[in-house]
This record gives sequence, structure tokens and C-alpha cells, in this order.
Amino acid sequence: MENENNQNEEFKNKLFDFEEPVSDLVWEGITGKIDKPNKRRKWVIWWLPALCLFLVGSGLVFHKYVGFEPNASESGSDQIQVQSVEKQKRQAIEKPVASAKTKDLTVSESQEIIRISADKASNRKEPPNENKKPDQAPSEKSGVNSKSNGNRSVAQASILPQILSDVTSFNKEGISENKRKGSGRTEPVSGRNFKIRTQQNGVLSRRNATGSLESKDSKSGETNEMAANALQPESNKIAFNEKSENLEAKSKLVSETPNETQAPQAPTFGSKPIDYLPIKMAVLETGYIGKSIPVVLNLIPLETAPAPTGPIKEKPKDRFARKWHFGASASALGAVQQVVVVRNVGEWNAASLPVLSNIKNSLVFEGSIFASCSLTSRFALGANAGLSTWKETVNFQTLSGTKSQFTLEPIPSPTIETSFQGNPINDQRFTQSRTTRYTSFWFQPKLAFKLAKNWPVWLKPGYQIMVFNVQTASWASGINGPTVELSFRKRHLELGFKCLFFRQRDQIRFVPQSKVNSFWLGTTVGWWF
Amino acid sequence: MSKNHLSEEELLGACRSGDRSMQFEFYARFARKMMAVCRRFTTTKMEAEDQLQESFVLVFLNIEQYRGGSLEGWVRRIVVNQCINHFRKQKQKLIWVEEISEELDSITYAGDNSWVNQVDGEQLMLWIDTLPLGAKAVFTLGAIEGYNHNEISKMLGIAESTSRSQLTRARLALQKKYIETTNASC
Repeated sequence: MENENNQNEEFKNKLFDFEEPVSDLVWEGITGKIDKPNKRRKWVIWWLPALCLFLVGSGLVFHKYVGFEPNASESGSDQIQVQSVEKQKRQAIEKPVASAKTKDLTVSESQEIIRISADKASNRKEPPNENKKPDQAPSEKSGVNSKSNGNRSVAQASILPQILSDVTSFNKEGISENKRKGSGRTEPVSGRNFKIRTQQNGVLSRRNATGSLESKDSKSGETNEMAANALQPESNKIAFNEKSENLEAKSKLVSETPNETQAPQAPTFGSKPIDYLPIKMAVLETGYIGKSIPVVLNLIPLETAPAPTGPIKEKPKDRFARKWHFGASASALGAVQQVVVVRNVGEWNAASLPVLSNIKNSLVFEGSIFASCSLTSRFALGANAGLSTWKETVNFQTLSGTKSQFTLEPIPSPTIETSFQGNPINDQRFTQSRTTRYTSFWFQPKLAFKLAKNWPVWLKPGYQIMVFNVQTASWASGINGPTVELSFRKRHLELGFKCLFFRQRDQIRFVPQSKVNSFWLGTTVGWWF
Repeated sequence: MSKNHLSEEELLGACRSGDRSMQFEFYARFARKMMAVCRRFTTTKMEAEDQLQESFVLVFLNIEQYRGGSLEGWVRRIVVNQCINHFRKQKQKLIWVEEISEELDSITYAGDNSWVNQVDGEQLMLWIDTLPLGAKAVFTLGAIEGYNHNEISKMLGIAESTSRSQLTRARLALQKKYIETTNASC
């Protein structure tokens, strides 16, 4: 070895510190490879938070402008459908309102706003009150919509028809008609006493027969002569104090009250449009999206908005609630506790024997298919049918007794294993251990309750009925027992916990007529089709 | 302060903090020597540069794990391990070493290596390059890097006897080259 080391020494001295030229490309390759993880790290450092912020911002925007439908069915597809319908409606509402910020509303646009907002308003249980006082504050009327889901655009739009429905139009006889939304009826008013009501800043204004302007505070109810009347341009004032003949003659030129089919027009008096105070609604919106706090000021001029026409469509309720679902689930259940009640068996009174231990261990695997029908958004009726297979080990140990005292009945199962331990002569202790594999088909009707409307957790009590027992090859061999499931469903996937109570005849029958009370706890994974 | 006068600790600290210029300084300090190591484990220069590149990537990525001792030895160990890993992937070439053994058996080994001092290092490297890959690896590990046959056998996954014979045959082959060159010059 030493000789070999000496032989190597010459080579080592010559070549150990030998140097070879290296291409510059090597360093470039090294830096390129070192930079890769750094770049990845930088990507994670900068883009991941940015992505998170974007997602949070998107969520906030979604929540703010689309929202969640609490009455939607629990199914993901249902939610999507309901939300898309709601979204379309909201977009339909918001688009005309948004356009109103920059331009005057056309007749058709205004009509669309009112029609959709009327749809929203139809959620109110009480029918439109025909006898409602015309001076009732609009803010009270619109309370239902304005508090519904925080969508101010909806609230704004819902106010419009009530304001605009109070705009007086004229009939051929020169008698004004006060047409109310939804009532379909007109209330004739005396020609000289007709009044045009408008609202500005919560104060109702109207012209009296003399053309002077009155205002009425919706809260105090006080009526004041409007000093602002003097501010109106002289040319725009309507000579309401003209003679009635002239009024009748001129009223012929006034457009008729729009019916259901005719497009509504702005009320005019002769060639001049009716002069009433412009209605302006100012809404200041703000929020928090990401790091920015946008502030939006909405100004909505409504001078030419007509009264609502056309039938109000009822919003379909629970349209998606009644729906069938089909799924499959797999579950694993483990035995938590086992108690065997032993009864007298012939000459051997097992109850009189001091039992040291009596434990049954088992693990059940179940596969099932299920179907359910969502009757409402919170209640469903369904059924499972499945196959269970489990291997059960029983350890039974007594302090006294002999082997002959046990009645061992044959069990029609190919996987039965029995072992006897202990020496009953010496220590008077007898231990029996038996492992059996079971397989059974079962049926399980279920009820399902959703714990909260917008909380996708279902409580499913049911009753498992054994319809076929493989061991005994018999139909309807017993009722397994009640089951309780607590499941969480997200779109197609269902995860849950299952609890199954057994009270059935012990299939092992080493002690005939024994009853088994067992309690199972397991998890379920289901997939909805 | 010139970079050439930086101590190993300063260089290591700068490399650990990701200073690219210091990393280059580190690389420049050891690259040529390590290139020679790689050349002795590979057949072509391009292949050697690939192994050198991979080795220094490992050095810079694992520089935090350096726990003292000879820095050059630590780097050299990484380079050798990288080359051996590369070697294992090309085990077929190791088997090929046996094919030239009979050719080398006909040469009688002189017994001393005094002739090595008379040969230029560059020339010796050229002769080593002509060795079969397996013999070259065993010779590099045994004669230059100082590993014993037990370590070599474990590193290359060969028997100790194979390592001994390959080392002997490598020496013979190099001596043969020397004799041939000397005879040709005479």
C-alpha cells in the first residue's frame, strides 16, 4: 500500500494543482441556473400577494355588485343559475341608471328602469295600496327595496316608479288623472285643482290651481308657499288661471294617458312641456377595493321619466329549489363502542359469568348510490342504497366456564376464523376470538335539513334497512338502525360525517338471541351528478 | 481592497449574501483547477465544462452548508461527487474499460514513477485523456485525488480488485505513452 502511495505521489504532485482554461460560457450557465430559483422566489414574493389582493378585490367586487342569493338552492349549479339571473336583472337595472348619469333618460330607457324596479318591488307581500295618501313619503314606500341587499342602484330604481307614478297627466276633458303604479286605475281630479307633485330633497312640491308652488314637508306635513316660485322662468310658467274654456281647448292637444300598449310620452300642455321641478337624486358611493377607496357620485336627472306601464311580473319563487340530485358516495366507518347483552342460553347462563372483556372491533366500508329531491331550499327527501362490507373481530373473555358451555353455531361465511385461547381447567378463564366478514345490501330513506339557508351544511337523519344479508343469503334480514349524517356540500362534492346506530341480532351467534348495540362513526365522500 | 486579497471567510460571506461579483470571484479562484478535475473524469472538454457548471451551481446553492475546513477541498469534493454521479449514469463506459486490459497486460510496469517528473503536466493530461473512461476515473481518484481502493470501489460501484487493476493498468498505459513518446523523439 505504501509503495502504491509513493507511486501515486508523483502524479499527485504533478496534476493535483493542474489548471485548465475554462470557457466564459460556463459562468454564464452558472449564473443562469442560480438565477432561476431567485426569479421563482421573486415571483412568489411579488406576484403571489398581488394575486391574493386581486382575488380579494374580485371577491369584494363580486360581493358588492353581484352578491349572494340566500334563497338559492344549495347546489352549485343552482346557485350559478340563480345568480346569473339575478346578475342579468341587476345589470339591466344598473345600465340605465348608469347611463342616466351622463344623459337624459329616453322614454324607453326610463320605462325599462321602472319595469325592472317594479319587478323588484313585487317582492313586497302587500298589494299596492290604492287608498294610500299621495303625500306619503316615498322613503317609507321604498324601504323594502332599499334595505334588501345593500344594492343602492336597486334602491334608487325602486324609488323612481313611486315618484313618477304621481306625475299627473291630463285627459281629454281637461281633468287630470293621477295614475298610480300597479293599480291600473286613475283618480280624476278637478280641472282647476289638479296638482303636479314633484320631490326634491325629501320635500314634496306641487303647483296649485293658481300656478303658485307649494311645498309640503313629508315629515312635518306643513304646507308652505314656495318663494322659489318667483325663481321660475316666466315663459315656462303655465297660466293655470286661464279660463276653463281655453283650458279645455288646449287640453285637447295634450297627449292622452298612455295605455298598456302605447309608449308613454312626457306630459305636455299644448306645445310646451309641463313645467315641473326637476327631480335629481344624488347618491354618494364609496367602498374599499384592494388598496383603493373609490368614491362615486351618481346624479340622476329624471325630468322626462314617465309613469310605469305594463304588467308587473312576479318573480318566480323557488324556481330551482325542486330538483333531483343523484350521487354516489363511499364511506368508511369504524366501530367506536360495542356492548353485547348476553341472555340465558340453555344450560349456560352467560349473564352469570363474570365477563372480563367483550370488545368488538370492526371497520366497515360502504359504497352507495343515492338520490334526493330538494323540496325547498332547506328541505330534501332522499334515499341511499348501498353495499357494506366489514370484518369484525370479537374478543370475549370470561373468568369461568368451559368450552362446552358455548354454543357455536355455524355461520355461512367463508371467511370465518375462530380461535380459542386459555386453559379453562387451570385458570378458569375462557377466551374466544372470532373474526367474521360480513356483506350486506341495504336501503336507507333519508330526510335532509339544511341548517341555515346560506350555510351549506346538511343534517341527514335516516334509517338503514338491511335488505339482503350475504352471510345468511336472506332478504330483509333486519333493520340496522338510525343514521345521522352531517355533510357539507360544495358544488358536486360532498364531505360528511356519518354516525350509525346498530341494534340488531348478533350475526356471530356464539350466544344465541344476543343483541348488539353498536355505534359507528365514519366519514363519507359523495359526488353529485 | 482588491478582490484577490479577500479572505475565504469574506468571500464566503459575500457569496452567501448573493453578491454576484463575489460569486464570480469565488468561481474564478477555483474554476481552472476544478476544470482539470472534470477533464480527468470526462472524455471531451464540453462534457467537462458541463460538469464544472453543474458543480458550481451546487456549490453556490449549498454554500450555506459549508462548515469550515479547506474551502478548496470542499469545492473539490463537490466537483468529484458531481463527476462520479455523472459517471454512474454512464456505467456502460466503465464496462468498456475491461476491453483494453489485455492490451495493457503486455507492458511491463517499470516500478517507479520518476519518469513523471520529466513530463510536462499538459502532456500528461493529454495522455490521461487517451485512457478509457473507467481507468481514467480510477486513476484520477486513486493517484491524484488520494482516495483508497475501498473508497473508489464504493464511489464507482465496482470491486476493489477492479479498482486496483484499473489503477495499475492506467499507470502502465501512461508509462507506455511516455516510452513511445521518448522513443519517437530519439
